[in-house]
Amino acid sequence: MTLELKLDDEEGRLRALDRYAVLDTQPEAPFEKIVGLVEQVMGVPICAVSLVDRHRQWFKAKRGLDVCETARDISFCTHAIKAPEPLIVCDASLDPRFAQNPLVIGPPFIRAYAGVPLRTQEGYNLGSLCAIDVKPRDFPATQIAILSSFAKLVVDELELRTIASSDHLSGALSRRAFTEQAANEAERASRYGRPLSLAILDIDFFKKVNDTHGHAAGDVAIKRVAEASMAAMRGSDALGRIGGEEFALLMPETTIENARLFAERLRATIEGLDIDAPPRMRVTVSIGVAEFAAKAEKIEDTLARADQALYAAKHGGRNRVEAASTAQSAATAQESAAE
Amino acid sequence: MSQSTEKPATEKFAAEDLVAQILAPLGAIDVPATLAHSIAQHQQNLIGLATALLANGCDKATVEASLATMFDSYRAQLTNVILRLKEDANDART
Repeated sequence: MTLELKLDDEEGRLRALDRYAVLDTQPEAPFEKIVGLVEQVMGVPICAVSLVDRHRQWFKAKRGLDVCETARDISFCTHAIKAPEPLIVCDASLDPRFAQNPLVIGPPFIRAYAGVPLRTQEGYNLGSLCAIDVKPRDFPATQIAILSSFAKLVVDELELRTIASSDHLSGALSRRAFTEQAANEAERASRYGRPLSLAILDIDFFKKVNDTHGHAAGDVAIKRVAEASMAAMRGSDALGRIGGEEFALLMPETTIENARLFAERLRATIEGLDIDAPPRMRVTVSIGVAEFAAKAEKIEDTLARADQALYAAKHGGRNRVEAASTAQSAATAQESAAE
Repeated sequence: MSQSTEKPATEKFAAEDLVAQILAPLGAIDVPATLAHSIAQHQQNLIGLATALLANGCDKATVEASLATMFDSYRAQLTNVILRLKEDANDART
């Protein structure tokens, strides 16, 4: 299988990095073991699994470094992820790209660098596995082959983790993974006083799709609706499949008004989809949206209110969007307080 | 690291043999179909690592130890993922 490299799609790369949900996580044994073996096999004093975020490089695992991240604009790995081949610098002090780099003229005093991109199956370079020396040196082809092999094992480990949190059919998050992410976002929204909205989306008359065209066609409809939703949402949003034909969409930094506008655009997009299951068909969705009321409720209550709004959309004729009102929010909060 | 005197032509075959031995315990695990691709890919990447280590002159014992270290980590995570997928499947049924 030929992998299509996506070296120029930075926003797509950042969304892919978000999907792996690895930034700012705790150290983990597999990655620690990999940098340990790289250090041993290649005989370098410094090595790291570096992931390149929008404004920083963050180290999932490291040897010989005192910091857990650096600014992106001074990182060697930023150069490594822009190339299809490993980046090899035998003497940084002689390379005009790096000679005046703060990491070269100051700690950790990098002189030689070999970085192999951490390439996903989609073709995005999330970061690099890098081996670094504080004196000039060559990196023979046999050592680059070893580093490349370890880089693939790093990606194996990252991808294994995403399988556990993904719904296999749709590619959306599993219900459990979505619930965990929603709880984390709710905590963040509460702490910083930021808006957070949720939408619950249900394919209309899905039982009829299955009964008429068969479950295989129903599965295709689920996939296409998930793909359309994921294509429309921002990198910071999250889509989970929370039931058979039911999805939930988490929208950080989004008020109810903007959530409703987005949901309406998504509804119209899905209505226009030409679904290529044999036979060709079209589906519609009903959507309920609600904004998290940090001072009055838990995120589970917001989900319940979005579900009530979805119920209203279904009873209002389907293929429509309904928003949970603030009054409903207050009523739910009062009920919660009374229980 | 210890250096090997094996000829390069035998490296790929030796690598496949070593990885097959390391992965043998997987045969006893009931692996969900969704993980089959991940495991096949991991096997190929371990063979790639073993081949590269042998080509770099590492001896068989060193390569075996590196493969075992890598696969132990992967297998531990794989077990967690399998348990989680089974729990999710049970949740979906209830």
